[in-house]
Amino acid sequence: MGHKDINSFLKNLQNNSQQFYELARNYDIYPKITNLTPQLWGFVYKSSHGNYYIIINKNLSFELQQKIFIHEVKHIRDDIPKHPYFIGLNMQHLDFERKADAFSNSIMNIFENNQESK
Amino acid sequence: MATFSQRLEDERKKRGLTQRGLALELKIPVSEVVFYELGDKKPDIDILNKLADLFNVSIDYLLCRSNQRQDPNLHIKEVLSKDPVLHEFWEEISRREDLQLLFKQTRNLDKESIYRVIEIIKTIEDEERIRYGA
Repeated sequence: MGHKDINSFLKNLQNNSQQFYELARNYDIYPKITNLTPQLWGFVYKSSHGNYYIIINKNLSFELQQKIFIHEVKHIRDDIPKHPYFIGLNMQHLDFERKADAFSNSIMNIFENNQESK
Repeated sequence: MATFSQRLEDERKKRGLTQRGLALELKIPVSEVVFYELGDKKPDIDILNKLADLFNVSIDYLLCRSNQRQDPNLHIKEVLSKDPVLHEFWEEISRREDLQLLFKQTRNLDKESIYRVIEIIKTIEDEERIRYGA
């Protein structure tokens, strides 16, 4: 998954919030919304073939799932993490987490504004 | 540098055992324990296993291959021990350098979460194996 693809994905995302996860797959971003225990929000896994998977707990609200997903896509684009990691596990205080949160919030605001104007 | 003989003697003394006491626990002649601690003889695998269980340490620690008393992934192994397929998969991926941070965090999770995380990773790897070939 290249940087160009993620940038393009994020740009298209702003106009296609309804087909959120379907769109992601077209850009080789692999979200997996699945059943996890309440202890976990999700985790990011880089497979042995080098693909990134964003696994999110399906019991979270749809809005939170979207927010987490965008947050993690931003990390993958900007930080290209070499190691898989859990989402939201004792990392909130880090600066790059704050930046990803701000980014995620800004995209979510665009969604809301788009929906209001329709 | 630590040796097996030193670690054995240290662990024995920590448990307040004499050489005779340890020999009784292991059901072996006391001379064997003396030889082990002098470095004149090495124990076989069965004795190593018994020592690891008795002292609650890993065999790697006893053999000075690690300075961590316990296998750091012991908790994960225990959770997966009831599922041979998942356990085998775990053995396969547990040496992957890039996964060590994830496993470190996994150790603090409850049993159900650990099981589910490894299960999901296996599903992803299985799917990719089909998609890309082995």
